Amino acid sequence: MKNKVLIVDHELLINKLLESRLTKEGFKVDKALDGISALRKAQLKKYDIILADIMVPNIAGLELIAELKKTRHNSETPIFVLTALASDELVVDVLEAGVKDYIVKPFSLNVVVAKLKQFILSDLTAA
Amino acid sequence: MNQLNAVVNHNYPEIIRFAAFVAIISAILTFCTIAVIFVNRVIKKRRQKIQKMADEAILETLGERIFIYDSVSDISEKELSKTLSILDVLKNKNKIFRKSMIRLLVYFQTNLTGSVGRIVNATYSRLKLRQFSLKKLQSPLWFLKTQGLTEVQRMKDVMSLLEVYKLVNDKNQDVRVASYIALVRLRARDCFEVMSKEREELSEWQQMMLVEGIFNTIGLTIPSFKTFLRSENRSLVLLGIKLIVDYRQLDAIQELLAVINAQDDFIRLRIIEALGALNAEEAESSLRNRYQLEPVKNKAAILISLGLIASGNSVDFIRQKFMEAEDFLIIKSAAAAITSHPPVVAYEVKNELQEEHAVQKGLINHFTEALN
Repeated sequence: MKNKVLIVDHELLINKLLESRLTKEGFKVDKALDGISALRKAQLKKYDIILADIMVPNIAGLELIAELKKTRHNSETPIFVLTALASDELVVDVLEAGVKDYIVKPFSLNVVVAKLKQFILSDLTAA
Repeated sequence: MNQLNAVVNHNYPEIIRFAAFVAIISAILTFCTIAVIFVNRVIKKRRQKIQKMADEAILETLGERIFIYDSVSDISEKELSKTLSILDVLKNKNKIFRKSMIRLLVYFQTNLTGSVGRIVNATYSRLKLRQFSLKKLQSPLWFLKTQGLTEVQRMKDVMSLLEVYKLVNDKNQDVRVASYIALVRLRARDCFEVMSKEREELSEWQQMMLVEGIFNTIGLTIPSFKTFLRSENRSLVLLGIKLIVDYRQLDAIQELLAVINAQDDFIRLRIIEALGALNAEEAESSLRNRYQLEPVKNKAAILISLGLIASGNSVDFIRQKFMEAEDFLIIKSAAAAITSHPPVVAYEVKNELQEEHAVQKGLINHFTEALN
């Protein structure tokens, strides 16, 4: 069964870029352009991974992470943050909020794919 | 036309004929305006439609043929040629497709690192898109020049340096600043020297763009910015002070002290703040000596800077200003400076305070126990 990923990014081109690559890598991809649509999707469906930019419109930052973790289906879903903000404080805050990993933009597409695959693999091994 | 003839042929009073003429001309002009707006909207819609088609087609090709590879070596020459020929067809379809392709490749090059970023860069070169960016540099329009400069620096096109140099003396300041940023981004050896020759005042926005370019260029050789302090261009002096602080160039402290007598209040304010931020102990006596000569804002900055330096040599000075000053900004800054020292200083000052020092007491409490 394909692993389901929710991509949250307000930049349409980044969304499409990640979608095309992750689909090719065998993931089933859903996209959201802002915090509210991300929450709506997370409330309706269980995802294996959420890959989110935390600087998105409507609900953003730590609040978005907290709200995603409150959803019924995705309270345990690992969140990978992908953002252009890279202050030490923010990285620490985000990791303390329970985020699995923090990827800074500009990013390497191959590194993102490798991190997601690595996580899926380690999750399978643990199971 | 018939109406116009009717009015002309009938023997109406002059004023009526004139009014009718104006009304008809107005109606014609209104109709023309509406027609122009309508045609423009149709053209815009059509252009947007083509733009969308172009974006989708190019994105699809990039997604299916470029973004899927882990490294350049994964692509066989045959496959690469095929991909390039597909993109070449798209590029040559029309101007909108070409512009869209440049925009998307520049966007992905900016947002991607690693091998996919390198593949995007190679695609841009092999499709000979750089010639269109270079053409923009020669345009008489300033915004096309800045657009071209942005493309050249984002695609890390070092080969275009000669063309960039031609724009450092452009008559438009935005073009000149964009060319300085391009030189910084392309790591031209003399980028700071070229920048230091700017004659016109740089706006805060332009300074910010330059600082952003300098901070985000990996591998850039950073010079000592103390040379900027002697510039006749006020904005370059301010830029130099900011960069000295951000790069903690302690060797520039003596130069900062040498120019602390500057005529401009704002430059002196920035120098005072910089000396504090650099914890320049050797500047303490100069700061204290300047205190009486400075306007209130700069006096407050001197107190804050002495607090940041916190060597202990200026405690009496700060305490005296704290007790004697009547201006709230000065008392507040002195309180902040006192609490920047070890806690014992604030404790001693607090014990000295009398009943009439209610404001001072409140401020010390505020700074030492902000949450209470």
